[in-house]
Amino acid sequence: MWTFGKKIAAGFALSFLLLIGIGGVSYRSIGTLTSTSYLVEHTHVVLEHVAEILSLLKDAETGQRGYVIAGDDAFLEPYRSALGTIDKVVKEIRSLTSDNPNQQKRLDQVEPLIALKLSELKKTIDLRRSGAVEASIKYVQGGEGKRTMDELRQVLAQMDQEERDLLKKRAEEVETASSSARTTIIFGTIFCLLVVTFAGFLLTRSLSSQIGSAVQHIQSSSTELQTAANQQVSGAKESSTAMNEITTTIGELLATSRQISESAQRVAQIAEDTASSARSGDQTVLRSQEAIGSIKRQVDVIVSHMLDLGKKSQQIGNVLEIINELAEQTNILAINATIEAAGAGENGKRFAVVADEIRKLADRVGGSTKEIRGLIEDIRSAVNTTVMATESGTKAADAGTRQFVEVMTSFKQIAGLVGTTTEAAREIQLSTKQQTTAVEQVNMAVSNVAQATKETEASSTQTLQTATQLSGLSRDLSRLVRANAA
Amino acid sequence: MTLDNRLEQRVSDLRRDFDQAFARDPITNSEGVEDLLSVRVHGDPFALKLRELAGLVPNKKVVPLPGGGRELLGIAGIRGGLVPVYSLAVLLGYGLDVDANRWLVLCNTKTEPVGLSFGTLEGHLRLPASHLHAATQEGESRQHIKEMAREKELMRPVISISSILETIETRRDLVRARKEP
Repeated sequence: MWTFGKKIAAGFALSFLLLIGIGGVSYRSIGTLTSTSYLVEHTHVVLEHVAEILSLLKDAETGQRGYVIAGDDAFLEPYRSALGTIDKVVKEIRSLTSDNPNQQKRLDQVEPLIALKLSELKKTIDLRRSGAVEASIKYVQGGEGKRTMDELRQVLAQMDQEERDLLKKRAEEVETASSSARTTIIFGTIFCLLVVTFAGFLLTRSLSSQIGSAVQHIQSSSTELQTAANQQVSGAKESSTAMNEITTTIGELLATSRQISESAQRVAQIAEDTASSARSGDQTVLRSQEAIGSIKRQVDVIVSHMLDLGKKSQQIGNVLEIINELAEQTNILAINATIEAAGAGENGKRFAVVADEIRKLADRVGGSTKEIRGLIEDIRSAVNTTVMATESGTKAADAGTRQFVEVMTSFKQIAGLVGTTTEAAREIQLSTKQQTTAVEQVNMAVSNVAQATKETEASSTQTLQTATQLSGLSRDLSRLVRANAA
Repeated sequence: MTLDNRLEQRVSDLRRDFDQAFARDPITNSEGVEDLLSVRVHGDPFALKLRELAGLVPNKKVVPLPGGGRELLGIAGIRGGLVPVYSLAVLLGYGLDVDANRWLVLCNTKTEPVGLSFGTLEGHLRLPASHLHAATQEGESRQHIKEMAREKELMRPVISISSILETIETRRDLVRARKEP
């Protein structure tokens, strides 16, 4: 399969070859035209020299005739100029026409004629200069010079015609060469354009097909890459956020672990203090149990005294009943005495006073007995309450004694459990310290991961930007490759 | 004031009153006053004038007698003699109350003493004579009530012993008349 370089190089090589062909043909045609133009110029120079020879001869003849007629040397100036130039011109013509044998033959004819003419002119001039005006005029009129000039004119006309034929021939050659070059350039250019166009079409189609397909793949891949980069950026952001949360959580976990470690240390200390307190509490409970036994005995004594007090109060109540009864009877007696005194008239009034006082005393005794009865009832109620309270206290003391035994047992259990708690707290403290160390290591690792995640997020963002640019570039390239792709 | 202080104050008051009782003039002291016996019959307050009574006896056994009126409860032995006992509640128009006959007051008639039984003795009551008013002025129309005694805010009907005794005499004569052909 041909690569893009080979195809492009082949296209350029074909165009280059065609251009070389066209250039070669053009160069050759231009060379032909140049050489032909040189030849044409050469021909024109030859024609000029031929005409110059005739002109010089005419100038010489004009000077000769003027001198002959006027006898003034001033008229000999054209003669002398032609005489000094004409040989040079003839030599140049011979040189110029050295490749033309016909012209060389005609020059062979011209040179004697020129010499003959110049001799005739010289002879005439010499005659004139010698004063033989008539002789010179006759010599001129003899027509020899005219014949020579006619021959020269004829030969020079032949040479001129020869050169003009050559000029015509070379003009035709120029026309032919230029026509060939023009044809070559036009058709070669058209052919070259066709070939280049065809090659360009083939190349464009081939390149468009292959590059378009590739660009399509690139565009599709860049879109997928962009999507993937988007997902990667999103995932990286989520990972970064999650890592931040994890870092924060681990920080809190670390702080919590330290607090737990400190708390466990305090718990261990407190547990040791508690164990010490439990041991001292055991002794205190023993002493308290003894004190409660003593209290119980004292309470029993108090209950006994209270019961005696209740009995005495009962006896006081009984006596008081007797007193009350006596008071009532006294009252009745006083009333009866009052009645009797009323029946005794004036004599009974003093007795009535005494009876009234007795009745008042009896009333007051009755009121006092009521008050005493209320007081005794209060005493009995208080005694009963005290007895009940002391009995409750005794029961409570008994229960307290039993509970103290239980408390002692509990204290022993507490001491055992506190020892276990101390060991557990120490283990917790040790484990928490190890956990704290592990969490610190995890925290460092997570920090590194978080940093890597941030870098990943940054690189993902860069990748996304690159993918976006690549997608844009692929679309631009696709538009460049296929105009209708946009 | 503590209980001991109150008791000492009371003893002191009793001693002073007792001593002053002998310092007052007994004659003038008893003039213008009325000695009453405050009682309750069927729960209602009543008063009896002491000067109309002959004695007060508690808790005497009353032996019922056949015949006689509903107000005659029986006879009781008092001061060496037999005394007929009448129900004060029945005589005042109340119903017979068996448990309300704990006290007896003795009254002298022309021929023999009689006993009037009632339930509750509240005590001796000495009022100025001005505290006694005629029952009609107070609108009291109960039988045997002719006066009203004002004891502070309470108005006690004063039972007329003479009226009671007249009624007893009348009914006893009527019973005798029925028995004799």
